[in-house]
Amino acid sequence: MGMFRGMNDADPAGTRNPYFLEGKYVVRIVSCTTIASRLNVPFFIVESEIMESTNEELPVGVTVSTLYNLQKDMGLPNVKRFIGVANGLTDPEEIKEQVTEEVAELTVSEEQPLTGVILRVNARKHVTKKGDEIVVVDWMPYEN
Amino acid sequence: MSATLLDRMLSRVGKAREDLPELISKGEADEVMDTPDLRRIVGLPRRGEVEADHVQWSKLLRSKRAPSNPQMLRPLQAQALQEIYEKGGLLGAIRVGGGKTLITKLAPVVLKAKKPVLLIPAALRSKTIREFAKLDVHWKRHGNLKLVTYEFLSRPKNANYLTQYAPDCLICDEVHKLKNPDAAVTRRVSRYMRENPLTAFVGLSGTITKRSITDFAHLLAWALKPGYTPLPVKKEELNTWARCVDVKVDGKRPKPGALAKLGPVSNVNESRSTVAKRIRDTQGVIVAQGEDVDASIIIRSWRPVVPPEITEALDQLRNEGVVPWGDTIADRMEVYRHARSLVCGFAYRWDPPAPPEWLKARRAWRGFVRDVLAENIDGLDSEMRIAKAVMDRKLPDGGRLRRWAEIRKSFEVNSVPVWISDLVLRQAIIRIQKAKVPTIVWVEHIAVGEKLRELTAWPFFHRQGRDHRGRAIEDARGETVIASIGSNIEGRNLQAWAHNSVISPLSNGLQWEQLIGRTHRFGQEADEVRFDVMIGDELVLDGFRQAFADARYQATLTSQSQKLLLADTDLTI
Repeated sequence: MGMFRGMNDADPAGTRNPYFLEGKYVVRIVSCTTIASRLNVPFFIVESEIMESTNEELPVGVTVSTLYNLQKDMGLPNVKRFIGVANGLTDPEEIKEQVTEEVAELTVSEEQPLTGVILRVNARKHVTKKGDEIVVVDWMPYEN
Repeated sequence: MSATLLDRMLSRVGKAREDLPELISKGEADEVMDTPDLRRIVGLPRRGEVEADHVQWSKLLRSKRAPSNPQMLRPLQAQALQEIYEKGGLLGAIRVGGGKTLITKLAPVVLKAKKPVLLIPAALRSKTIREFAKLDVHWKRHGNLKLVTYEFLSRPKNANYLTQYAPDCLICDEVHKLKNPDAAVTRRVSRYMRENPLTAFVGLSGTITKRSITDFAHLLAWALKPGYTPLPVKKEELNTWARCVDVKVDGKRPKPGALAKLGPVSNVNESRSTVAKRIRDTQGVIVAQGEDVDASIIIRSWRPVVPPEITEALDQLRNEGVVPWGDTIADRMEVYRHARSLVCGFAYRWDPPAPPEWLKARRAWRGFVRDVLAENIDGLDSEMRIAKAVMDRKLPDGGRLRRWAEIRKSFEVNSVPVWISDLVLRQAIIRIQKAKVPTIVWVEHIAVGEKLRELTAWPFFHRQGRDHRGRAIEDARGETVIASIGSNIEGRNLQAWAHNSVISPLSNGLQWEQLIGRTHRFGQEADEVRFDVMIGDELVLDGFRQAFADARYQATLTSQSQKLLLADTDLTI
């Protein structure tokens, strides 16, 4: 059981960025990347820095990661909506039409065109059909 | 309309449409692209037909004290040393028995290195020292060659060893030990090579790749330096090549595209052969079959009579995931591991027994793991991954992991082997004695080796390949000996034996290649090398079959024939 050495002192959130907890936030996008897990599952990852927060556990200044599994049914649609909203689009039809594969590739390219974009986030609890409690992240344009 | 958003994003980063192909080609592509790195690889010179003069190289490297009937370098050894001399490094996929030891000894001499380090597995340390001492009679020696083991380098306290010692030449025997980029030892060598890129690097192994060209791309870059390696230097580009030619690829395989500049690519096998040929043709890369061994390989399986108490324990293990004395098994690997000891007649018992609360928490957690594994959920295929999912709050476990983690350290398991029956081993002994030939009895477990020694008085060679009197296994020729697989599978020259009895068959094709190569190697004088393999249970047989599947995979990937596949095999039991 050597794999659990250090378990008692381990932070369950790990050394990576935490995920969103229930609450409302204003965030600034730090990066958008893709990564393949050890099982070669592709993930789209949004890193964002919290600028305003209603959850004390995620105060201003914390960088939060949001992962989308691109192999899941809702993976690509969620990424598409995120990219659309981050570019100021709100009409689903417009998002569907304009957020193309090339736009998505450009989003995760080294140029990182979405870095610095400010968005609102509503992170809410949701109970799945299996009974698991998860946090769903809704991205919204930031309007003063 | 789509142009609007795309153009807006491009202008935000100061780019235009024409920049797009370059901007978005950095991920894994759908096909191998025509890039500057590919064009560099296409332009690398290919090795001509000129062969190294092994007579001349033998004269150059011979010791002044060599006897009047001196040893000669084999042509392959001379070729390797010549390329080390000309290219300042080498990656050699040289099969078991191909003469790697002498190359590792002479490489620092050829390179005129000042502070060479030879990296070897710990199990081969004393064997290497002995063989070098014998070779010193015939060949020049480097007076400042330092032997360091991979295990030494992987320890946290030795993390800065290379930086502090600052070798100008790294020679790595069994270089597949540096295959895994996440392993501590690989990270240390990688950091050193990154910070000291002019360090000469010589890597040798008979089993250089298991699954992918990514297993050895970094080794090629260290040996030949980035501008001269026949594989892409950029990780993304390498991954596209790998997904194009590797045997096992998840998701869609990219089209070969610009790989066609290297040779024919009409199907996957052809693309793979084209890339393999480009690698093989590069000076500084030696891909060689072992020297022909004029002896056939015979593998025969046999099934012992398994006593009822063992059969019951195996059934309980298989059906309920419980081992004798009540511990709960978490995953399939553990079932297989326990089955391998049970068929030999023993199981491990905890001494002292675990406190009830500790055992309860362990069973609760491991029972949960077993249930999750049974559901075959994507990505949750091991205890470690399930634990991580729980810790990441992605998988509710009712607090089982937390309770187990809280109590786990309060009790330290001390496993002692307890024999249920030695009937199976006694049958093995009778078979070996009936054969009336010196035999190597290969065992996986120390407990089995010691029990066999107790029953027969045969010497048992395990730590560093030595027996209880400190003798090296190579010095026991003419005797029947018991050999720990873990301590003797790599590097030993055991061609004095032609008969092997394998008590615990391995399930890994690469390990079989090594094990067979101990006796089926250059210098073997018998007409056939025999392996009697004990199959005590279907689980063990399934594992053995997996080894054959691995070997077929290897043969395709490396163009090197595998000894397991060359064997005349009968698995009927």
